[in-house]
Amino acid sequence: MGYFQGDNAANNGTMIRSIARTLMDQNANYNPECRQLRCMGHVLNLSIKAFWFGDSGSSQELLDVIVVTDGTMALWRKLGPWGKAHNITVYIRSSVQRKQQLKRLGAETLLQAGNATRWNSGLAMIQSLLRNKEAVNFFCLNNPDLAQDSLSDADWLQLESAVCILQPFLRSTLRLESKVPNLWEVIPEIDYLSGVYRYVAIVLPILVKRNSLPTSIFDFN
Amino acid sequence: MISIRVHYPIWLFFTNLNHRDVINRYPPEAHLARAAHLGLAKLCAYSSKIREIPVYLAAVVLDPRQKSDYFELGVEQGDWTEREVEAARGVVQLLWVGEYQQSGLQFVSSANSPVIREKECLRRGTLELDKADEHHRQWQAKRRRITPGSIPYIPNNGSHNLKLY
Repeated sequence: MGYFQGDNAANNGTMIRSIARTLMDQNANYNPECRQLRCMGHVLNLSIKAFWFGDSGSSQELLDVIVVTDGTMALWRKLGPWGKAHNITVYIRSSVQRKQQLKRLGAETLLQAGNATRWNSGLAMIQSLLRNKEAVNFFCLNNPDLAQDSLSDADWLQLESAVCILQPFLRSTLRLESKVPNLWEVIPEIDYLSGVYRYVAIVLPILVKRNSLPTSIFDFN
Repeated sequence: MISIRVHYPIWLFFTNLNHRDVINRYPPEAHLARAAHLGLAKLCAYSSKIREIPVYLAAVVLDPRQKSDYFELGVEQGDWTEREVEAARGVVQLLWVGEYQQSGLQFVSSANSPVIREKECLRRGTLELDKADEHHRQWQAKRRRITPGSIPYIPNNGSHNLKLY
């Protein structure tokens, strides 16, 4: 009893410290550090953003961009395969004609775009690109605007592997959101996600060198 | 089927390293591995904070499927160090002695027990999510000594009436 769960904003910390001071005046033992429960959604969000944007600090700047210019496209491109994926998606989604062209090239579904407030939307974007790989490749070949953004085989491979990280994050997000307390799941979920990261960061490069990359980490025995 | 076993000393070695040093060893085109290190660094920063908060640790220990097995097996699997486990044990003990042992209160929780919640979570989702769940279950099995189904299903005492999902 006596625990507070809020978002991770600094003013929540201030509030709990203030409550602690009042309680300590009445000789109660109350350590505010231990009484503030973290918002796990926010932790997952920050981690995914670090994965997505690195520590460039430009994530919000990039996500807030509404009008796409050559300059913003170049910024995204620096992020690697998912930056290119974003450029392609935004380019195609920005006009009806381009969407129709993609459909004519054999796309089964519409491309989904990532957005700033839902950290799992990046996964949806990559998955929709992967589903329409052939059509997207054709589209990039036929559009000089996307010459620099066309995805190489290595890029596609990295997008597939990014799904291996983003999917467990989606699972954990669904798992940790709840109407009832589920404190016992917090530490195991973080440990699990750290394990997924370590696997991708350490084992996958070794497999790439050996040319024996699995199609998905879930294929693992 | 490819099978790779990663022994925990390697994992610990990488966990303790400065992530920036590791990233610099990858070629520039290895975006994925670099990004994974950055994401991991952020997660680790929060993980170490959360591992110091007694109530999170106590919640793991009080889950009848996990108990302190979770930490011991976590050391074997490379998620935890002996030192962290020692600290966690001390913290949970202190919480029990300091706040609950002497209080003489009868605690009736209005929340669902972990076991019941587990059953309610087996639901919804796509095929991909099911695969992710399966991957997670395999991970989980290595951190529990109790096999699934060996805990009797204990219905809640009816003190709550929450409908989930």
